Amino acid sequence: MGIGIHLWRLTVFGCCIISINDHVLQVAAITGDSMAPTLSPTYHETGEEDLVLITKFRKTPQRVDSSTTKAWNINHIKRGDVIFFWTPMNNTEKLSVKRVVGLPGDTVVPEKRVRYGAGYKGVDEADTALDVARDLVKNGGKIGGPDTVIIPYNHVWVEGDNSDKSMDSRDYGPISLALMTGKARYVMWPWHRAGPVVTELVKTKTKTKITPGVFRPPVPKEYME
Amino acid sequence: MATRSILGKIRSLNPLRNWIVPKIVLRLAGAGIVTHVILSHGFDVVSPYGISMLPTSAHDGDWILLDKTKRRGRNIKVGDVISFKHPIMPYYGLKRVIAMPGDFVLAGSPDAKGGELEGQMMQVPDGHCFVAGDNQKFSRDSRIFGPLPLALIQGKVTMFLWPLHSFGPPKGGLQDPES
Repeated sequence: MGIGIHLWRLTVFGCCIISINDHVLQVAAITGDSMAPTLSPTYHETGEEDLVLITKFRKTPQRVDSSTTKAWNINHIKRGDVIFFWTPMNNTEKLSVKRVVGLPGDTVVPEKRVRYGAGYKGVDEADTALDVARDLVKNGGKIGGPDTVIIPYNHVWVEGDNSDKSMDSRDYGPISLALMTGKARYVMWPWHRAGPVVTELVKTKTKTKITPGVFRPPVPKEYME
Repeated sequence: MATRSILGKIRSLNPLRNWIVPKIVLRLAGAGIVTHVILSHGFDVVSPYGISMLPTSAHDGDWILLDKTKRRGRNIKVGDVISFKHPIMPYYGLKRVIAMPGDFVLAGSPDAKGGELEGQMMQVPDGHCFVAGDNQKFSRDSRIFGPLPLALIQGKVTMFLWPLHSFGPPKGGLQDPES
């Protein structure tokens, strides 16, 4: 029994942990108060971070045909879910956690706000979410009128529960579900708030109006073979 | 002496100590998990499919080395061929980066198949890049689905491995103007 076999076992153990973390369950600390009071309600005063259990999704691409609604994870998302996703703006190495408030096909009238957080490289700070959505027009995404965005195929509108302190879809428009890594399911710490994460829409101070769509947009025509 | 007997007792509790076959299975499973982590976080060898990157990548049968340590856009620059999670469809794409955040691009070209960005200049927003296939006429890329979030980048193509006549780094990247 040399050092080699122990190193090997340690490597296998480490890789098991990494694989479980990537594909099954992950525990994460919520920094920031964009989801207060649901998650980390006292972060602003005490810096206390909630620990949250995240369930991961199957990311294996599936065969696509013209009737598919499979996309990345779309069948597993419902309004009100709290999801983890890679931040599309400002720091792409950071995971964000926000609540899904709009599904593909919904009509959104975003709150007009000056972009939260200053210092975006090369972008005019007076841009609103609507301007961003115009810049990020994804195929099938339409501007329904001067004030509205229709959420395109495979995208969702996310907002933090703490509307004033949250950088979310009102700043960067609808996000692709390919960015999502998992759903927040349980609060594990602190004990007195441990329990399942609330997955219904909560009342927030946001001025965004969302009208649920009657049907989900189909696969964009350029991708139907 | 005492240590040896304690270790002996622990070893005797191991139910697999006399079973050769499960040990082989466990070793293989361990190797499999380590390989999986290396392929998903380190380097991977894949075979792309499609005509959007001709002549750099053939329609079928090429094998490329993907550097996955460049996930999410670390150290990616204009001219790199990258693999990314498609923002619309549930598969991966292989395209070339032609603009990084802050750059100005012609967002839709007459060759782009559909898309609403026809003929417009736009500035690539923060956190996104603009990708295009080398075979512009038959490529569905950022001219169709808009800027690609850097977080969706899975890796960078460092080498073409097969066929041998295209062995080496992908052609057509940025060139030093001095040379």
